[in-house]
Amino acid sequence: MAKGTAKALARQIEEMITKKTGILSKAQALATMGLGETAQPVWASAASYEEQIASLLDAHGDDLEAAVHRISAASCYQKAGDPSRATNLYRAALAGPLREVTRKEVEAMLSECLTLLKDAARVG
Amino acid sequence: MAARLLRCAIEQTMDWHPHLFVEPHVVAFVAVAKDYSPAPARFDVSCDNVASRWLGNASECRLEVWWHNDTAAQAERLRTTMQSGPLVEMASVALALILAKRVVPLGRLEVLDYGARADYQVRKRKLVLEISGTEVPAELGRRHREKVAQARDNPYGWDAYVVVCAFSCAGHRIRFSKHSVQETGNGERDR
Repeated sequence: MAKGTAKALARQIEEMITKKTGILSKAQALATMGLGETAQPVWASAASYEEQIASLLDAHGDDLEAAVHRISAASCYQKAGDPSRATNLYRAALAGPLREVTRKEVEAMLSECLTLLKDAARVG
Repeated sequence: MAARLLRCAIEQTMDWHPHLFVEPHVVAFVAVAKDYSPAPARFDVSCDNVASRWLGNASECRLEVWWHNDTAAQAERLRTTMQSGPLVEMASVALALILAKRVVPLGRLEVLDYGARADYQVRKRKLVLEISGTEVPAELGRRHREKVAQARDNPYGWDAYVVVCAFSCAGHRIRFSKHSVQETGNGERDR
């Protein structure tokens, strides 16, 4: 990758992370305060940012960071009430170079998400 | 020698961390602290392995936190709507944000969502920050050990700062520590 392109990409990643941090910290605060319904669209917005950040990090060659942001995206989608997208992102994260301890935790998160999907299918 | 004193208003954390949504944490802090005493709330802070220009060679300091009357009014309302556990956790985040600015300037904190918890990290310095709080002073040691273990298991294998706050009638305390994650031979980082 050309030096200029890499720099521009790094700057874009930083900007996206700053925006996402504001949104995600809001979602977390609202949820902790028991304002789950108000938090739901904020979770979805944070998740969308995390997905984009992960793709940019892939392009930048930061595979581990990309995988960690996919975990965060999945976790946000799950809280936004979208276990289907969360499942896909947990799987995508597991394809990345995770630490063994992280891999186990993400497998547990994926399993919880799949249970949610099965429960939803049963009700539906 | 007397421990160094750090004095600030909790509302300053909003200016120090403008990209984070800090206001509810500030209000939560006041909601918890004002149950124990009027302003200021005083904390004994023990610092372990924390390299800080402000701290010098000291391993402890005192923190004195003030708040504004309008924040106290907001805190009254929040107290009636939130349970103690999450309130104390949020209050502890506000305190950690003071330490992460004034004792060790960590730089811009990023937040990630990781299952049931929020993970704070500083990308540029390759650090993570774990935070927790309790109103049971006897739990401080155990809670700190748990957080250290959790911090060392961070997905990146980065070094970690841990802040655990204990609010108590007998005197508030904070444990602030830094932990390295050692490299092992196969590239996997381990404790």
